[in-house]
Amino acid sequence: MDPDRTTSAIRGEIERLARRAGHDASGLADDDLIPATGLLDSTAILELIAWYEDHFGLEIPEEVLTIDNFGSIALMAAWAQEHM
Amino acid sequence: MVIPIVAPRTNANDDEVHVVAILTAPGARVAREQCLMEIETEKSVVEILAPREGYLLRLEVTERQHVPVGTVLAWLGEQPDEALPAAPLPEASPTAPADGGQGPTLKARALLAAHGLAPDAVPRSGARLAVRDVLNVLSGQTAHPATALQPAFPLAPGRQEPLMPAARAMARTVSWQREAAVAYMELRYEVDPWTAHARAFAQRHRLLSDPLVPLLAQRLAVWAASHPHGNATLLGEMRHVYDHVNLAMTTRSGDTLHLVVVPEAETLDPLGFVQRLAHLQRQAFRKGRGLPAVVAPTIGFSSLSSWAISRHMPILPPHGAVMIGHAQPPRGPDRGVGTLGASYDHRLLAGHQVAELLEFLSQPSPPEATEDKSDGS
Repeated sequence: MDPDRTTSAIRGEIERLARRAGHDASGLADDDLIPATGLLDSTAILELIAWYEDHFGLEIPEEVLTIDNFGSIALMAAWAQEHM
Repeated sequence: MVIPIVAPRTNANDDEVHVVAILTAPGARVAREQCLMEIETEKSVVEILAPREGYLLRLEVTERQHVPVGTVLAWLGEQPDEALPAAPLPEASPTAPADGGQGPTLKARALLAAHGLAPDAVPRSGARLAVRDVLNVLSGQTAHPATALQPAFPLAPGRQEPLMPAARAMARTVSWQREAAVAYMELRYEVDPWTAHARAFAQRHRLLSDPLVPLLAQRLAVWAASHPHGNATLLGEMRHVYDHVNLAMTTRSGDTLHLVVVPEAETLDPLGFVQRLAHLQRQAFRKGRGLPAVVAPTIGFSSLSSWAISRHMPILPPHGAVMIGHAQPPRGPDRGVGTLGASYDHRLLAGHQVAELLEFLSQPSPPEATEDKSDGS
């Protein structure tokens, strides 16, 4: 998948989940640490990962599901590009 | 004790009786062998006599009604305000079923009624349907027939032990008005120690999402493992103590509320529990794909920590002694103060035991106790 489309898809889902909680995530930068922004609570972050696994057809082992691998849009996109 | 008055079989050929006259009104005091009503069969008119003195609590039939043999006609109690069984007794012949056996014992009938089971839904091990037969079905040792009322979850495996006399007395005392005796208690606590503990845990393990609520739930599993009387349910007057702690957690996704169960939670260290729960929650969010087989929960936890809610009174699930409701408002006047509420079965847990549980949960475990086996630092 095109890297830009990967990034765009992840951003779209984050904005959708944030909007559901009454937040506007349109200003989120690709390198912003998502948990630190407060846009998504802990459950919404798990929903984001569940969507990510479905959307990209990936299974993420628990031990690699860390903030260092999935903490930002850029990190999530890079992991998807590498493992798809 | 409340006893049912059932339509007797007066001859081998009549499976039905006709209620001719009702001679006693509900609430009336009756003497032993006083005639309560008259019924008629093909061959005779029979008086239904009170088997003992007491009060006619309720009539289940009306005049001119035709009912099968074995139908409960009325209820007789020792006191005028005695509670009836939670569910009406199913129709059953107390004398001679077609297979030549006899009907349920009185205790078995009460247990059947309490759990909404029909007698023919329970396999009989002897000449009469006994309490142990009903317990076998409730505990899953005997297949639960499709015709029976199915609980939301099957009962998790465990051992059955009789209540101690004091506990049995308490169970009877708190159950006077209904079959279950659910009480509620809550404790307010300062959230800062827990918040700092969860933040340090997340930093140490590089976690993506806040582990506060999973760590609270894991602490509940720790308590349940060391307090088996709280990881149990009541079957009749037997305590069914579960073999493992299967912790149920409510998880919301949009408008859908999921219940995920972490099986054998007592075997997991904090990090293992957090990861296992996250994995199960993601499976639930993925529209059921890859969901593991349903595991019967033994204890529960529910949190509304993302909402400005200061009190959360959870419904006690079936077959459980306690369910914790957690609230920790992120904003509003109660910010900084959390609430841990417990809905509990007072027949299994006394108030002081639940108070101790809430105090235990309100404090995170010491840092050295939360170090998981994989953490080499």
